Amino acid sequence: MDLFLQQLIGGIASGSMFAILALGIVLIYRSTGTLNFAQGQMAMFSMFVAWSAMSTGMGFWPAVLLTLLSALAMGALVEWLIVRRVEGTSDLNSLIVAMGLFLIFDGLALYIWGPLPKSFGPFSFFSGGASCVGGVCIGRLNLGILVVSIVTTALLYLLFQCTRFGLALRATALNRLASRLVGIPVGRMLSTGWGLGTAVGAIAGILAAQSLGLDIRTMFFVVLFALAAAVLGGLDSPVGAVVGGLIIGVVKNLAGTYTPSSVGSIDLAVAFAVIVLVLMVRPNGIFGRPVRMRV
Amino acid sequence: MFLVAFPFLHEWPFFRMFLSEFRTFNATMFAVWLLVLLGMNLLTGYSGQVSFGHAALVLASAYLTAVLSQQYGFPLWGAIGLSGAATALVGWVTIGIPAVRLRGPYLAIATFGLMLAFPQILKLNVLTQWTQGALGIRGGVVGPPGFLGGVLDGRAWMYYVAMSVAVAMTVLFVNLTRSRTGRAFVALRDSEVGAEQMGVDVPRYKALAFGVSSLYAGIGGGLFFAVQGFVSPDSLGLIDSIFFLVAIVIGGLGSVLGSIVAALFLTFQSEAISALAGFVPGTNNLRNVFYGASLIAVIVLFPKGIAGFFQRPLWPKLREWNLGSLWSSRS
Repeated sequence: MDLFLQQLIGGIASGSMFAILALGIVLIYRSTGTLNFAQGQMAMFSMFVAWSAMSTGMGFWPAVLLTLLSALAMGALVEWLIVRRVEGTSDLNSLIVAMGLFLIFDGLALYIWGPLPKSFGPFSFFSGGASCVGGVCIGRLNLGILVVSIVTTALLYLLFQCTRFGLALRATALNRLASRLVGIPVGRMLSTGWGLGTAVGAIAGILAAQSLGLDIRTMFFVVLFALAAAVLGGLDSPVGAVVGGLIIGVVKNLAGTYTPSSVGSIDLAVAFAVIVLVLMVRPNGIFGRPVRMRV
Repeated sequence: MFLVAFPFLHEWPFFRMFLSEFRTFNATMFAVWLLVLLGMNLLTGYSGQVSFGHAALVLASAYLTAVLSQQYGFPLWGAIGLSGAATALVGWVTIGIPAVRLRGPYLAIATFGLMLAFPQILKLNVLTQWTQGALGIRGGVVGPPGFLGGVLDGRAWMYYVAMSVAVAMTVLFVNLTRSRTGRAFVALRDSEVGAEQMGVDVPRYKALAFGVSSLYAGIGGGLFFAVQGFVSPDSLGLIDSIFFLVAIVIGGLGSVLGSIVAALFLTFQSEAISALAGFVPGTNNLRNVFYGASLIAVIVLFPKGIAGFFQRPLWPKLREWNLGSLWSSRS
């Protein structure tokens, strides 16, 4: 039982990291209808920015702040310069553009920082002794990840639900034409959506690097779990992304624990199975809105 | 004529200057990629569905061919045909039919997941008995049948087999795309609801497009194993799937000529980049940036790719990048 609880908590912690990466994907999907397959590689790029900032002697938190601001600018710029060119044409075009972004950020990181892994964390906030309640412990790393994820989610919730700006963002996602008619600068909102999504992705990346280390491939597979989370929760639902992330984290951990070693590691296959299952049973996910088709 | 003579050209005085036996191998791989990319183009360029998992289908068929021929004693060519048929069936039934309900990004996510998960599945300990885990499977030496033994070496024989399969299946492809079925695919791509109104059985044709596309990927995968003589879980990965996409987009979506250009691109891209790196240092590392940028530029500027240049004038299209709109308020 203790093992189960232990794995459950570990799953929730890593799941919270998937959750905010998925949240980034959902924010971007809601803003321009682009499923950003480059989310992982863009997060990886931001992690390298943080690494560079720290290698000039900057402290951890200032470096994180700088990274978030640069990610915000980067995401907005990508929307403004590139995504807007294919907006409203077809799903196919926006997916191809997303893959183009994947290659661009992958290649840029390789060009600037080279193929060798970098040492990046765990930082003091994420290292230290475990905290135990009864026989169940949570490591400092997992605790740190959990805290950062909760704070991130809470801040985003406040932004979206309690500010005029958040209202404008939600309105744009819901109905672009009506938003324009009531005077919301729609273009700017779309760029902001991309910026926010990229910045949230950068946070997820920094969290992932604490346990996985930092190199070009760090986010390669993590993004699959985030995609599974986003699909499970519903691609256009931020609440769904968080719930989906937690479920995926727990399922992944439990599957890893209770699969006999004679089978081998199956975490990616589990994520794939979840995606297929959700798409067959409930394609809009737990919280998603059904999509209607028009000619 | 040129295709038939190709393996011998390097023995002629003139061609010896720039051809070597290695080029025969290149040309064989070109045939393999042509098959794979025709299939991918049918799916994406003609019927408008996206797959980021095509390399997984190729890999699956390569493995099936390897297991059938190396462990169950099937003749290699029979194993390739069987694997191609099996891949087509798998693509049609297990991906194509469920995919009927999935539109746009969902199909992309599912195939993306397949692509990332598949190498791990191949490495599962329970399958090691067949797949040999991470080690991969090595094939035997393939030689020409006895009566040709004195004329051709193994490499030239492989070239003839792969190239004739590729040519035959290209001809079939052209016929298919010009048939009623091919027009139904294109109608699907342009507007699903519109196609339905015109009496196209949308689910049936969507699944069929996936099936035919998988058949091409499957035959290509079987030949991939035969040509390379080796397959491992890491032979093909996500990046290859993405390169397939880059190739057909740059070559030209919805065009046979586009697929041929795409196969040329895929065959020679790494060599070309290496050669370029000789002049401009760092090009090797910038390769993906270059491809990503080309992908976006082609989609925005010339949605028909290189093949489109042969169909209509080019410069008017440049205006459509529409940089002016960057500065005007489009809020």
